[in-house]
Amino acid sequence: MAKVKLMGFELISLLSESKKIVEYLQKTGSVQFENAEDEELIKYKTSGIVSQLEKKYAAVKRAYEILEEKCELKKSFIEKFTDCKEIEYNDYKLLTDKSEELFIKCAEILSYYDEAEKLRSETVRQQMLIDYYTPWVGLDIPMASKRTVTTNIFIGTFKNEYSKEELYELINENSETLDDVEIEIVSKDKMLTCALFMCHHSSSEELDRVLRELGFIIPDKIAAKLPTKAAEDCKKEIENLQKQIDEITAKIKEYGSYYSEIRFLSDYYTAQIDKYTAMENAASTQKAFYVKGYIPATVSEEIKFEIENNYKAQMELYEPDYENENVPVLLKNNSFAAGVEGVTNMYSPPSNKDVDPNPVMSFFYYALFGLMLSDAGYGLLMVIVAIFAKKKLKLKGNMKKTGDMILYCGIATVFWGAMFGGFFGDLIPTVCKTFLGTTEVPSLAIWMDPMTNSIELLLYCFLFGILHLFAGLLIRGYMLIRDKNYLGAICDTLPVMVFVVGFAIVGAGFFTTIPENIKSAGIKILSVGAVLIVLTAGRSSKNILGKLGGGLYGLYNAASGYLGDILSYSRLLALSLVTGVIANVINLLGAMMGNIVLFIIVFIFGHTVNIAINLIGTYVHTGRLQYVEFFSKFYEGSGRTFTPFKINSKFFTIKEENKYG
Amino acid sequence: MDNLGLFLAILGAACAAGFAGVGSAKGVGIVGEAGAGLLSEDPSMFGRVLILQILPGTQGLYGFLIALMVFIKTGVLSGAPVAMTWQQGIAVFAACMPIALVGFFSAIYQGRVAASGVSLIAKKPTELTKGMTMAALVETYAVLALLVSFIAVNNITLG
Repeated sequence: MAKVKLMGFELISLLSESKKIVEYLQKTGSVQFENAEDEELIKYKTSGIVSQLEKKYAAVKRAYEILEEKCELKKSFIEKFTDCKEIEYNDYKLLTDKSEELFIKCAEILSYYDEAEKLRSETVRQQMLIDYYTPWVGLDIPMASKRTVTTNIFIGTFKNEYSKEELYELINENSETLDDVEIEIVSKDKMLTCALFMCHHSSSEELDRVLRELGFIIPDKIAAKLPTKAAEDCKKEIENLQKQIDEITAKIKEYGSYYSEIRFLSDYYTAQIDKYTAMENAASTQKAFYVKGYIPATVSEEIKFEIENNYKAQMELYEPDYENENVPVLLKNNSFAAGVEGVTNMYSPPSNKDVDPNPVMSFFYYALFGLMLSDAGYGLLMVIVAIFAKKKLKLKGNMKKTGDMILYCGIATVFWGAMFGGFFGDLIPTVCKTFLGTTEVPSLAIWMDPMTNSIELLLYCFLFGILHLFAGLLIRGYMLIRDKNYLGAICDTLPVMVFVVGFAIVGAGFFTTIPENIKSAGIKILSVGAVLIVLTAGRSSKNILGKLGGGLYGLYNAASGYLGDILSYSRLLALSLVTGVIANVINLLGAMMGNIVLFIIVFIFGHTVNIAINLIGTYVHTGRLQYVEFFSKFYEGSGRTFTPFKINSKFFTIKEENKYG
Repeated sequence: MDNLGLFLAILGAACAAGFAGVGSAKGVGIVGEAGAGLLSEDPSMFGRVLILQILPGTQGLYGFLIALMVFIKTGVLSGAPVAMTWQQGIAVFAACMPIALVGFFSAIYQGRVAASGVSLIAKKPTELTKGMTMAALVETYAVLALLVSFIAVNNITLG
C-alpha cells in the first residue's frame, strides 16, 4: 500500500501557548488543519494580520530585488534552482529574532531607492531643460528681456521654418505702419524658428498684434539668465544630481551584505503568512485554544508526546471515520511510482476508497510511453536532460517527480528504440551508406522493424493493451476483496477476462494465420466467457427476467466496450511509426546532397522539431490510455490531497525537517 | 494512358498530404486566433498556448507520412517509378482516402476543442492537461485513419 495511514487529531491548549504550538507544528511539517467550527467557540480571525504581513513581504521582496539590481547579484538560470541554503533550525530561530531589525534595513533600502528615483526624475527634467535651451544658445541677451530704453523686445518661436527675409515680408503683408522692426533669427529648423523682434515703444502694440496673427509663441519658461548660462547651470545641476545618486547607490550597496538575510526574511514572512492563514482554522474560548486536523500515523505518537511534554496542551488521536469525514489522502511512493503521481493527480487524486494506482500505473505508463516514442536517440536525450536536471538543479517536490518521470520515460524509450532499431530514425544506416560508402547495413532492431512487420506489431500492441486492461481489472478485484465482496471480486473480473482472451484469439485469426486447434479453443473460450457474463452480470436484479436482461446487456457492454478499448491501443503502433518515419525522412532529406555540413544542419533542426512534436503527442496519448482505458476499470478519484502545514521556503531549507513535503 | 496508374497513386498522395494539411492549417489557425486573444491579456501564457496550438497540427503530419510512403512505394522518390496498372493506381488512391478525409475534418474539430482549451487555461492556467486530453480524444480517429491508410499502402503489391 502506497497510501500513508492518517490519524485524526484534536488539540486543546492554553491560549497563551497557542502561537508556540502552531509554530512547532509548522516546523514538523506533518499536520493538516481542518476547520474547527463550533457554536460555543470563537473563531480565529487572522485576515487583518495576513494582509499586513503580505504588505511587509512585498516590501522585503522589492528590497532584495533592488539589491540584486544594484549589487549585480543577478542569478543565472541554473543558480535560480540551486540557490537554496540549508540551515539548522537554531539558526532559523536566531534569524527570526532579527526579523524586525532586518525589516528596518529593508525599509531603509526602499527609502534610499525612492530618493534615488526622485533624483533620477529630476535629472530627466534638467535634461529636458537643456534640450529646451539649446536652440536659444545663439541669443546674447537673457530670454526674459522685454525692453530697452527706447525699444520693446519680443522673443519667441514659430512652429515653421522662416528666414529673416520671409519674416520681413510677412510683417509687411500684415501691417502697413510697421517699418522700424529689427529681426534676428536665433536658430531655425523645420519645426521651430527661434526669433527676436525689436521695435520702438510706439509701434510695439502693432507688432504684438501682427506677431500673434502669424502664430508667434512667447515661451512660458524663460530664464533671467543668458540661455548659454542657463543650459550650463542645468548641466552642473545634472552632475550634482548624479553625484547624489551615486552616493545613495553606494549606500544601498553597503546593504549588500544583508542580501541573503533579507531573502531569508522574505521566506520568513511567507511562513508567517502561512501560519496565520492556517490559524484561521482554529477556534478558542476566553482561555483555551482548540484546533483539529489530520496527521500521518507514523509520526502521530511522537508529535503527541512532544506537544504534551513541552506545552500545556492535550492532544487526542483518533481513527478517522472514513464514511462521514472527508479524510485527505497522503501518498508515499518510491521515485519510480512517484514519477507518475502528477499524471494521476491531473485526472483526480485518489480518494479513500481507491487504492493508490501509481505503483501499477507507473510501469505501464513508462512502457507505453517508450513504445510510442520508440527512438533510442530521443530516449537518450531525455535521460541526459533528466539526469542533468536532477544533479544540477536540486529539484524538490513536484519538480523532482517530473524529473523522475522524464528519466524513466527516457529509459523506456531507449529500450523500445533498441527493440525496433531506431536511433534518430535510421541515422546509422544513412550515415554508413551516404558518407562511409557501406552498401549493406544489417538491421539494428533487436526484436523487429515496425515498418516491415507492422501487422505483427499491431497485434502485439493489442496484447499490451489487454495486459493493461487486465491489470486494471485485477485492481478492481483486489478492491472488492478488500471490501469483503468475494462474489463480486470473481464475477466482475473472471468472466470478462475469459471472454476477452477468447475474443483475442479469434480476433487474431483475422490478421494472421493461427493453428486450427488454437482457433477452435479460442471459440470455446469465447463462448464460455460469454455464458459466464450472461450468468453473472445481471446478479443484482431480483427476478429471473431482470437477471437475464442484465446479463445480456453486460455481454453487449463487454463486447463493445472491450473491443473499443483494445482497438484504442493501435495508437501505440501509429505513434511509433510517426516518430520513426518522420525521423527517417529528416535523415533522407539531409543526406540527399551528400554534404556532411548540410546533413548536420538538417539533422539538428529536423530532429529538434520531431522530438518536440512527438513528445507532446506521446505524453497526451499515454495519458489518455491511462485515463480512459485503464482508470475506467477501477478508479474513482476525486480525493483530497494531504497538504501539510509547513514552512514553504524558496531560499533556504531547514535540515531534516519536513518529512511529508 | 500508360501512366494512369501512377497518376492515380500520386493523386492519392497529394490528397493525403493536401487535405490533411489544409485541415491542420485550419485547426492550428483556429487555436492561434483564440490564443492571440489570451496572449494580449497575459503574454506569459505563450508556452501553454503553443502546446495547445500544435495539437491539431499532427494530422498534416500523418497525411505527409502517407504521401511519403506512397512515393517510396511507387518509386517516385528514387526517380524510377514502377510500372503499375490503373487498378493498382486506384487501390493506392483509395488507401490514401482515410487519412485525407478523416485528417481534414478531425483537425478542424480538434482545433475547435483546443481553442476551447485556450479559454479554459485563460480562467484556470493549471488545467492545461485537461484541455490537451480533450483535444487528444478527437485525434484518436485521425490515428485510426492513419493506421488504416498505412496498412493498406504498405500491403499493396505493385509492379
